[in-house]
Amino acid sequence: MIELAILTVLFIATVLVLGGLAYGVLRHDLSLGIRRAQAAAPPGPEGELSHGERAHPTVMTYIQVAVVLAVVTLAEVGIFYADPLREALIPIFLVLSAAKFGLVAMFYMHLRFDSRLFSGFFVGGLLIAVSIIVALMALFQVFVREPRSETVAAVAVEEEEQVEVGSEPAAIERGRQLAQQNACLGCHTTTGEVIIGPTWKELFGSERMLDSGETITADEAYLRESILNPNAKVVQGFNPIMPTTFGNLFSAEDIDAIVAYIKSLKEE
Amino acid sequence: MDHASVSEAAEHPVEETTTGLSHLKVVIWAFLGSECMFFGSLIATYLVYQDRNVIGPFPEEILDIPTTSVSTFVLLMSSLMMVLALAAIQRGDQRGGRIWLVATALLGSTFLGFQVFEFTEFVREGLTLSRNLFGSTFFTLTGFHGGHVTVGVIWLLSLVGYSLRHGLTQKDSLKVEIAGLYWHFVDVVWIVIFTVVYLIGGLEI
Repeated sequence: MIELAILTVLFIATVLVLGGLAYGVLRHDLSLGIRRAQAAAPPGPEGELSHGERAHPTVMTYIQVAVVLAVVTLAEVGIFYADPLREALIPIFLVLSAAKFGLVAMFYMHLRFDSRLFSGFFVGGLLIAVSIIVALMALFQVFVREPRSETVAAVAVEEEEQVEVGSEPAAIERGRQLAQQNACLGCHTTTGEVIIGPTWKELFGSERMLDSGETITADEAYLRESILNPNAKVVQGFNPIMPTTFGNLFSAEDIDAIVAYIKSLKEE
Repeated sequence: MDHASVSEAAEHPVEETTTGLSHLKVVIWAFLGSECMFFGSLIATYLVYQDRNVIGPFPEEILDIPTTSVSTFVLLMSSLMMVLALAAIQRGDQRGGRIWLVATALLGSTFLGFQVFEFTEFVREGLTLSRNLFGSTFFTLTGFHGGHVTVGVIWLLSLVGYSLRHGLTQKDSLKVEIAGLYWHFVDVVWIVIFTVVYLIGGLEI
């Protein structure tokens, strides 16, 4: 209810500000100077420009640009709700937003009329920014990765299979996926290499020397506890930096699957 | 400064420099160029992690396109108000300049109101900075943008205050122009965010 009230107030504020100004402009030519400018300078070639400056846009130009911006935005939202196109929409959106970007930069930021140096600063920064975006996306293989809906669907299928089969290999595979998706493997390797946290290779059943000095065997209960409450038993030589939020993230079956996966990393 | 040079300064607000360009304008454009890279990195981070989310809420479930379209429209119109303010000051119309500056600040604050509404709504629906990759990258990107808008609103209001105390004459139009450049930049960043995060991110692909 409160949300609705806030939203209503915001909408009313928008309408009042814009409406009030529009009224002022229409009624009193509120400080736009359109009429005055028209009266003072009859249409014709703007020959009175001195100092070699190119013609500055008039207030009318500004308003025309604003109308174009509003119409393009409206068109974008319209296209968004035109379902059938979908994937084909992305390039259309990119072109339309680039057009709006260009309009604002050229007219409102006066780049079209101002020194080339300013355009250089801005376009240079933009090019670097676009390079960063494209390079990072390529690095993280965004362009070749399967869409999320498929990933999620795959996990869902996996879940069903697990319920159906309930077999050990299914649980291990599910544990592997969970470990990958939740970035466990960012700190715990499965190769024996130690990066941020202890490796999972050969972890199960091994003797762990804890920070407190005592030694403990890495059994299922220990693995479970270390996922849910990582700081309870920290292995010597490691920092207590593992997030403590996995309890909220994983179901009991998830944790079983991860433990099964870790167990599978011990050679029999 | 004698009277003649004052009127001279009014016609040519640009001081004598080696490039013939105002230092302030060079500085603001260099700053905006660096800001492009700053926001570019945040957008890149968003795009990289966009489909690595395994737990919800997902963008297409939670993003409110109609409401955000309105706030986008508000911000676009604030840019129009900003150029009108500059045009008025350049014409020597102090009262008009003040009205348009206030209008720009008001619309900017309305945009911020929409963002506050959106953020609280998202948190209520379970999307927080630490909930998932979408939450982290979304709040970081739009939060930094909102911070820029906030700075812009303060800048505009301080110009209004200056105008009330000392007046903003044609001679001072550079002050308004610099603030305007910053404001329009914040606007174009939103144009990109609206497209990349909301329209493209909201598609169910």
